[in-house]
Amino acid sequence: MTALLTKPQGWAGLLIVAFVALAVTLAPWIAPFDPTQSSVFFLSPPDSMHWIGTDDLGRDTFSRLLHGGRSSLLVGIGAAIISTGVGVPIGLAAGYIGGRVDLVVRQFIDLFIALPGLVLALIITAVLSPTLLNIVLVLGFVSWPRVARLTRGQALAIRESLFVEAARAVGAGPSWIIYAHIWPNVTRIVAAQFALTVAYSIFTSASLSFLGLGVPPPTPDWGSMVRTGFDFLAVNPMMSLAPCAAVATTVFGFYLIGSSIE
Amino acid sequence: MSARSDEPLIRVKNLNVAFRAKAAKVRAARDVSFEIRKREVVALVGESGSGKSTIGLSLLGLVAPSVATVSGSIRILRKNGKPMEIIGASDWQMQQIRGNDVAMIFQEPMSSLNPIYRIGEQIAESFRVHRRVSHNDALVEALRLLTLLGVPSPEKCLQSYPHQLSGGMRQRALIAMALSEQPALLVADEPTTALDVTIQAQIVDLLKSVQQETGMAILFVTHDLGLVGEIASRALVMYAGEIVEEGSVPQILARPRMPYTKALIASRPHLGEERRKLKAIPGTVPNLTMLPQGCSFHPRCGFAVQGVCDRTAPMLQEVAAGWRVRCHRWREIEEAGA
Repeated sequence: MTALLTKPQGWAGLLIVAFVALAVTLAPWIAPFDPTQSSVFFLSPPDSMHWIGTDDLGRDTFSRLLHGGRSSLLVGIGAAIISTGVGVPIGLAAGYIGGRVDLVVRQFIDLFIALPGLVLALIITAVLSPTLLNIVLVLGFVSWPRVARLTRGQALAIRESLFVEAARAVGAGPSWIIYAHIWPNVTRIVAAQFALTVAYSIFTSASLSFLGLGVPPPTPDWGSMVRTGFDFLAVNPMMSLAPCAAVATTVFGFYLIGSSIE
Repeated sequence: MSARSDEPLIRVKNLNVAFRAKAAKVRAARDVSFEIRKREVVALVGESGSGKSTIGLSLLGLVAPSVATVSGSIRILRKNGKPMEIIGASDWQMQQIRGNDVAMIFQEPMSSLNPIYRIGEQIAESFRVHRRVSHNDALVEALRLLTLLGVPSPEKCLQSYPHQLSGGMRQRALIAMALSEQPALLVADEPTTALDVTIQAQIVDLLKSVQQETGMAILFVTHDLGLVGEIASRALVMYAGEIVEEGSVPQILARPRMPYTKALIASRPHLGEERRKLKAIPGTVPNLTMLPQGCSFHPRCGFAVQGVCDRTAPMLQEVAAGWRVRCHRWREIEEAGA
């Protein structure tokens, strides 16, 4: 945690994420309009009433932006929690136990990493229905192998260290060694990967929405906003560019946090 | 005294350890047999790669079956008076033995401590893996141990991280960890190699005084013959995975019978002597995957005779009671007055 605060990019990342999180959580109170309420002002450019204009149904883009971030953040953090929850125990087990367990897990991880996450997520979401919960589950499922691989590598390195041997020499068992020696040395890298997974999942969920497999309408969502705005890019560019910028900023914020921990 | 109390603390019989390397087997210990009695300090001497650390690790069952084949027998007399076989014991059984009956200290005091924990917590660990003690009680115990080990300002040491301490202090902390459950045998694997000479002497003195106070036995693994005379009463000299000479330290140091031991002693630097080149033993320790035929020392031995030493492997022969040597020609060499 201290590394996060000593590096400028850590600070910047935290600020961005805090800002986005705050804006998105407080959306019902700070949004000037109902995000699903259409009006007669179609595709209006930014003015004093609609700060970044309206969309094709006359809904206020700024309000939709605030509300749309909720599902993005939820999906990002939810998926990261799932991938960490699945990846860390598997990685620890593979790295510490080694041998056959490791061999099987490693093949599995390699298989998963070889498949492009977006395509996999696309197929699975298309088969299941694209609800918020399903998207969280799918993105968690797609990203756990990376967490597992990192944890495994770290566990493997620490397992061979002399202090683990010294702990074994005073009679420590595997559960104690994992808990007291390996886990504390893994947390840092897991925290970094957590932030990166949030960034990746927000990005991928936006891509899914853009491809029409996101949270179903009329719930506002950044990815689907980019998609609808795409058709009106020449008429009202803000409709598509604003959610694009929102995704980019949020992803960048989480990415800064992740990379400053590493 | 009953016959029981005569039983050795640990009895190693025909111990063979072979590490599986890519193509060949690395035979790190070959038919090693020895005993350590209660309260005895035994030195295990040999060059790097002679298999001495492997033997130390085997006593704690720390040679993983996934990397090496271990056979033979290591019987330990537990503190509760019951004997137990270490080879083939389950992990769970070994966890009871380690720390409780046999403990170990290592060569590298820096990397043997986890850099993210304070010293106090690491010493407390060794209590907490064996007994249900509160964190605070364990820290109090740790403080008591450090005080016992003569650490100046033990409270401060307890609060320090490993990188804040000197090598000698770290080794003291490791000794404290090893002593926490009052083991009957301490395996000290070159505990002073990474330390400078003055600290070496302090650590050896410390081990000696702790040994006298607690009455534990020590297997002192070292390549430094000077230290052997300091601490041990009996010595096992190892070469290429075999014990080549075994006997009491004064005897071995004064009149070594095995040419290898002679060479080792001759290669020591002497204080006050005229400056001369140090006598090195020619050649290197044989590759443990391709041992020479016959006596494994014969390619480097000044007394080797063709047709004898390069044909059959010598057996351990008795020189006197408790003194054994593995050499075909020790009698002849003796008579020649070499």
